[in-house]
Amino acid sequence: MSRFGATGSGEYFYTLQRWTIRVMDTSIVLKIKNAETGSTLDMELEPENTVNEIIESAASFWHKDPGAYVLRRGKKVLGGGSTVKEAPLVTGDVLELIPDPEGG
Amino acid sequence: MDSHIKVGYEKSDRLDRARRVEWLDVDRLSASSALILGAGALGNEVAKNLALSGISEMTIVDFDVVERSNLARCVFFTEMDALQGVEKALCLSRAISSLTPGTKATPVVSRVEDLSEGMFSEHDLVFGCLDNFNARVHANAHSRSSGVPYVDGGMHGMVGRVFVSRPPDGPCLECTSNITHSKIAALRYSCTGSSVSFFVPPTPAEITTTSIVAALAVREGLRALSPLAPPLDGQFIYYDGSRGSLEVMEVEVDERCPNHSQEKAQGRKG
Repeated sequence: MSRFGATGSGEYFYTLQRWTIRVMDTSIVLKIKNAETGSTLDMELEPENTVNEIIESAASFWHKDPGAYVLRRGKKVLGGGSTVKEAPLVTGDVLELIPDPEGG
Repeated sequence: MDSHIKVGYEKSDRLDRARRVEWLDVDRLSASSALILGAGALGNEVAKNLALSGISEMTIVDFDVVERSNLARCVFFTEMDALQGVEKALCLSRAISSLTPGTKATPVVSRVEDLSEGMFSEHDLVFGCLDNFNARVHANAHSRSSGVPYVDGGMHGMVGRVFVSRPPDGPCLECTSNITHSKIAALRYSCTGSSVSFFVPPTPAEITTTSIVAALAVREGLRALSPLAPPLDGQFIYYDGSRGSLEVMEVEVDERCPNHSQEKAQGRKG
């Protein structure tokens, strides 16, 4: 007899006879805010995704003009190469995409 | 100890009011020099603020000439300068020497990328008043390797940003960059590697944003030369005129940035 289920804490299990395989769902969901328009989107991410990938996906979703942008969490600017795990980002975090002005 | 003054001395000292600002080290400023990269809207305002603050020497670098479209944002350029196509660096240097005769302003008509390494180390402060990321990266790297504080200003529309890097510690400008900076840098070069300029920032900044960004940049620069008020180095000072907000954001050292990874490698070798 086999059984599949969730523990409710992000962990899934599959039981076959006396063996149980446990799989941890490590994905998180962040809220990204567009500083220029005020609109927001929810983005699902894995721990190995990078800030660069978040910026690219958000900029693409909002059809941003070519230009430099940075991603901030509260009072901190996130480095492009940082991963979700390194940052560290967790479900419920709100990040804001702000323009990094280039003109002089 | 007895002091000797002449009545009304305070009215004849050009920097008397500045001397009354406790944190400002006027004597040090008077013996300091600044390298101003870019003589556009931001460069004009930065040079003006530095000259009035008492900086004794500045070198002003720009390869471009004055055009009529510059006149609404550049306080020192005139109709005649635009008509004659005078070099921006020359125009601004002349104007600064006229504004504060005690200031030695030297024009250099050149691209930032063509400056010698020595140009950076000869100055006490470097100001990036540039209009593109590639020149900023160059200025940031050379200031850092020369051990000179680098103050970078950027703006568009109602948004402006100032970042101060004080080597050898803390993050540098490239620690703040990401994939979008790399993309706009790549946009500036054709497949032959020659510089092109088809990327135009979406909205130019008007003079009020320019004034604010220049004021913030110069204040941070002055603080870098005044031990009583260390600057907000390694932090993103972000002005958003549409929100009426001014925020300071933390930036961490990115060990993957070209400057820090190179320093780390050299440290290992050493």
